[in-house]
Amino acid sequence: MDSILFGFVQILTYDNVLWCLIGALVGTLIGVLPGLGPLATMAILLPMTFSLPPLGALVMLAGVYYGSQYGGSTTAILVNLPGESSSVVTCIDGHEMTKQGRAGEALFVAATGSFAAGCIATLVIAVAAPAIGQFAQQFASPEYAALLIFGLIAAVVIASGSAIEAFVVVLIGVLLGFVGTDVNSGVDRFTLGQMELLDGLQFVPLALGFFGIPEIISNLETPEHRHVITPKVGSIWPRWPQIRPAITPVLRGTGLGSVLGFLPGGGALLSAFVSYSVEKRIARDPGRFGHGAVEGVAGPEAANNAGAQTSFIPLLTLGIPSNPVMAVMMGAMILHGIQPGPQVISRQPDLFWGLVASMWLGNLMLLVINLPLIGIWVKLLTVPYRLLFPVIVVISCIGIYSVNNSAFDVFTAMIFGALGYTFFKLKLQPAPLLLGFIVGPLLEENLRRALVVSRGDPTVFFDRPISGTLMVGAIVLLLVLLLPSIRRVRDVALKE
Amino acid sequence: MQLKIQSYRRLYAGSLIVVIGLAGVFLASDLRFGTMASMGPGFLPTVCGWLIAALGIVVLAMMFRDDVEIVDPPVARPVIMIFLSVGLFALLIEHAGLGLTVFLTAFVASYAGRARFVETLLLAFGTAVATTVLFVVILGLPLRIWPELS
Repeated sequence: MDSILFGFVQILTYDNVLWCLIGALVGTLIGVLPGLGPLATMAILLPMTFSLPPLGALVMLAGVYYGSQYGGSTTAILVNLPGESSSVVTCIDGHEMTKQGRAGEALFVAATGSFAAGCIATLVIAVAAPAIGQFAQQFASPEYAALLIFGLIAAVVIASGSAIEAFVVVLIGVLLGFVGTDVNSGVDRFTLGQMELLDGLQFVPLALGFFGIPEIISNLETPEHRHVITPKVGSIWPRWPQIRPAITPVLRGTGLGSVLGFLPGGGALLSAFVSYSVEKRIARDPGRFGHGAVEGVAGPEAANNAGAQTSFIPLLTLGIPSNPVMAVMMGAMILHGIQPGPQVISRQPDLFWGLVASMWLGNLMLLVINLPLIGIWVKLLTVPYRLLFPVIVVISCIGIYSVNNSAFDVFTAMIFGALGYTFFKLKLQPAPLLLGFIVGPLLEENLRRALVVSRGDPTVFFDRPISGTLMVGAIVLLLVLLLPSIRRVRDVALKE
Repeated sequence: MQLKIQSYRRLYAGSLIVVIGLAGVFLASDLRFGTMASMGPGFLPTVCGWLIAALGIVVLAMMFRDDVEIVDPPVARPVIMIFLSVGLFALLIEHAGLGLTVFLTAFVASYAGRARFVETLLLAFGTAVATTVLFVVILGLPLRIWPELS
């Protein structure tokens, strides 16, 4: 408890509150606007945080992530547009409620449900993270290698679409991670003679190449058909009988989200989907779902917010990003000279607890600013895309260029944009690629170190209890992927 | 049993994956492979490349048994104009200054969609002014504003 208070002392300075507010607002903005996700936005903002102190930078980027969850749900409910991918589920019942004139109720439930989930998830992080960090202190290279392998495979199992393709895409990410000077031998690999590649590929051009450019082009390929009719919001202060059925779904969603966010490959999107199917399954009358069931808004909204926050745990305690958004956070930490890992909590408690406290503060701000600002957010939707995307292109270019003041990086982004666009056309999901790219170098380092110590004996990964458990877990997951019957269950579960 | 290509998506995706994997193997071929106990710089890249290529062949094999699936052809205009505008930015930014670069990038990018001339001119001008103020004046990024003369 003292630690949390310590965190609030860190965060309640004029500057940090300001960064938190800016992050939350920018996040809401991009959550409202389709065509720019939190991942690309965080990648663009990354270079601009150079001049900030590390805590301010991380607080702002985190704010973008959970702010986008709020913004995405607002447009999902009001105009049936998921501004952000994890809000797809909210569209189903949320927009139905709007059609029935209950938009105010839906928005209230979504906002307060998210806030409640955010509060609980913050507590979960405060309690669980130090314990996990403590546990991870005893990890050596075999444990880390096993954990990374387990994490990558789990991410593949959870990813939507073809599992084998997701696995290949992870490996392509790992392959791209090899570019640059090999730390052990000093030999340069895959640099094609380019001086600029000696330090490895830059994360920002890669992320914007795979997520920014294809997204813009695909939006332009399908012509604009957005006719926003400003809906009647109704009272945003619903009565108790309308709120009561939402309470248990919020709590269930929070629980689900807290657990799923923690898993590798988890986070907001998965949590929202699972919560919706759980609510539907245990409802006394599943027929109401899809026709404005308040549980269908409350559960997923709470789950996505809780999942968004607990996905910080593996990053802050183990130094392992569980999803691409966390990979961007990790990139930000490294750029600011912080090596994510178990030592962060003990060596930089101000940073850790400050970030945790900022999540609670940010959620409170979102609750307070969001409900009154709904009218403005809806107005923003009437800005046509033809005026938006050139601005997005320009800001992306400036973002890429300003990381190293290097035009080479902008050309790199073009090349990966072409590859990313090909991936998009071939329906290969690019998210696992970023995960592989970030995790690959860590995996190689630990794998090689573990094998040097064991003199090339691969049983080192199985002899030790922790790494052995993780390796067996990874193998079980792989088998699960290969067995067709279980694969069908997974497909059904992910489809719902 | 007759083998007939059902999924063209799998055909293209699988081919792309095999090419990427083999490219990895080829580029790693100059690097020392080493042994398990002391892996050379080429060990994991080579293994990773072969694994990608092998899995790519599995993806290729799936084209026979999948449901019929085709790939939507790319639409030329957005593809060309977006890449052109990004390339323009990369070429100009070092010497032409932020203002002019942004103006031209935004202008060209607009034509990826349904642009109207006067509106686009205003949008590009507005973006140039706004980004210059935001990034150089407020955030203090070390960027040149005006073109390099001579």
